[in-house]
Amino acid sequence: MPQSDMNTSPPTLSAAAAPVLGRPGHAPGWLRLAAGAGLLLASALLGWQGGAWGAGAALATALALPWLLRMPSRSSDAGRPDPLQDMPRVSGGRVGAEVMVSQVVPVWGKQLVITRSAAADGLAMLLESFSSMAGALGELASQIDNSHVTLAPGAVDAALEGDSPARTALQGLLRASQRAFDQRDAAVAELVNCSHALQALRQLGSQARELGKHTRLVAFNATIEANRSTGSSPGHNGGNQAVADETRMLASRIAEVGEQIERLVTELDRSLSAERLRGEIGDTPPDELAQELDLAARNALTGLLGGLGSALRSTGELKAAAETLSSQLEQTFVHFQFGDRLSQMLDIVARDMQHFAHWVAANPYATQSDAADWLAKLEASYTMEEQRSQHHGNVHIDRGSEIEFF
Amino acid sequence: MSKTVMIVDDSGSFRTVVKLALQKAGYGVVEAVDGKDAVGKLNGQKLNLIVCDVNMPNMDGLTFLRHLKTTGAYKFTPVIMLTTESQEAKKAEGKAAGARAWITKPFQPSTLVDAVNKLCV
Repeated sequence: MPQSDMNTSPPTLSAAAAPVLGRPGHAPGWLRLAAGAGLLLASALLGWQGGAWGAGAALATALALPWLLRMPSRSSDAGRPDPLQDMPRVSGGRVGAEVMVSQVVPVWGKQLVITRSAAADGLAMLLESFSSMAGALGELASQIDNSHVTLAPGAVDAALEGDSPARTALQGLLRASQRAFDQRDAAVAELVNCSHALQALRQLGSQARELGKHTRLVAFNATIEANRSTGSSPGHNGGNQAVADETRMLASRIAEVGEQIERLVTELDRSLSAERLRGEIGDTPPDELAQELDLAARNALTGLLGGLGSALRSTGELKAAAETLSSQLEQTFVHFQFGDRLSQMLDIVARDMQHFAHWVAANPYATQSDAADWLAKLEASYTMEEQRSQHHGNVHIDRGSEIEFF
Repeated sequence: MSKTVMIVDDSGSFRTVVKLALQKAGYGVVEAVDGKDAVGKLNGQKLNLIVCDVNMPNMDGLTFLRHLKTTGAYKFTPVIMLTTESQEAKKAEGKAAGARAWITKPFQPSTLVDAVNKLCV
């Protein structure tokens, strides 16, 4: 049985004394002893419920013993039938106190033992249940802590700082985009080369047209020569004219080809210039591109975290609830200590009743001195200020947990 | 590796409350029901701190504390007395025997854990 810090040795009286118990005109000894023991138990229980269990028991003892030793018979004060009124009495009218005490008090003692055992068992089971709850609560709080995500100001900046995963991902995105822009720039460069080739082609077309003009001039001269030779040598007239006609036709054809070349080159050049223009307009400098990507990434992260906002708020509320429950559990464990003391007090009262019964059996008469001895030894057995205070009828001292370092 | 604390108390529920608080704080716990049981469980194992009741059957806490201070391996192991005893004379007796702190019951588990954190070697 837990002995703990409660009074550990029941008071004992040194000697039998003058005939107080059973003195004529006083309550029967067995009745006073029975009432005293009942008062002792009731005070202990009531005292515990009020948080001053030990002091209650002490007060009960303090009240019970003087009454047992000194008070006149007032059995009617109890306001209820005396269950022991039919018990046998010894000759001369004195109740056999020793007999009553030796038979009744042990029964009460057994009841106290049973009650104490039941209280201890119930307390142990309650404690086990609350221990499990506390363990589960602690695990839950730990999980909440480990999954902690914050939406505090600057969270996005923090997420993109240094070598963070978000920063690494952003840099990867930037590299892929930069490669696409490099390919685009290469294509634009090829278009510029094509444009240069077209310029050369335009010059060739222009030369072809000039060549056509010269050829036409040659054809014109050939016609003149053919007409002139008609007068001097009529046999050659038809041949010269034919050459002049062919030359004129060739000149026209060359001029047409030159014009077609120039027209096509002009169209191609116009087309290439528009593509190049679009490419130049869409060409973003790398720094600007990086800034755009950074902004886009931040917007994406903010949106993502914003979507988690409600879940995070729920997590915060859950964490607050867990902390509140944890605090309540701590207070519960403090209250369990009072329950443990109830068990201890019942144990002590039961043992004291046994000792008291033995003492009364051996000492049928007691004096004020004996009572004072009982009380003094009882007080000396106290370990708490509450007990000492209540022993003298003073107000209850509400004392919390104290710690003193040496 | 977690630190180990021995709890010496004849009350099972007090031991449970103390054990729960210390385990939650990350300590390993060894239990003993009184001073005699505690002496038997010392057997050379590493103990970083001892939490001990005062009034117990078989061997009370102060007697156990004095015994501990004569045992080489545990001479410097800090001891916290956890008791309902609040008399200054008893506290002085505990201090003289080598206790490092005195906590009166009922106690707040967090108060005990704070003291253990402060004294645990």
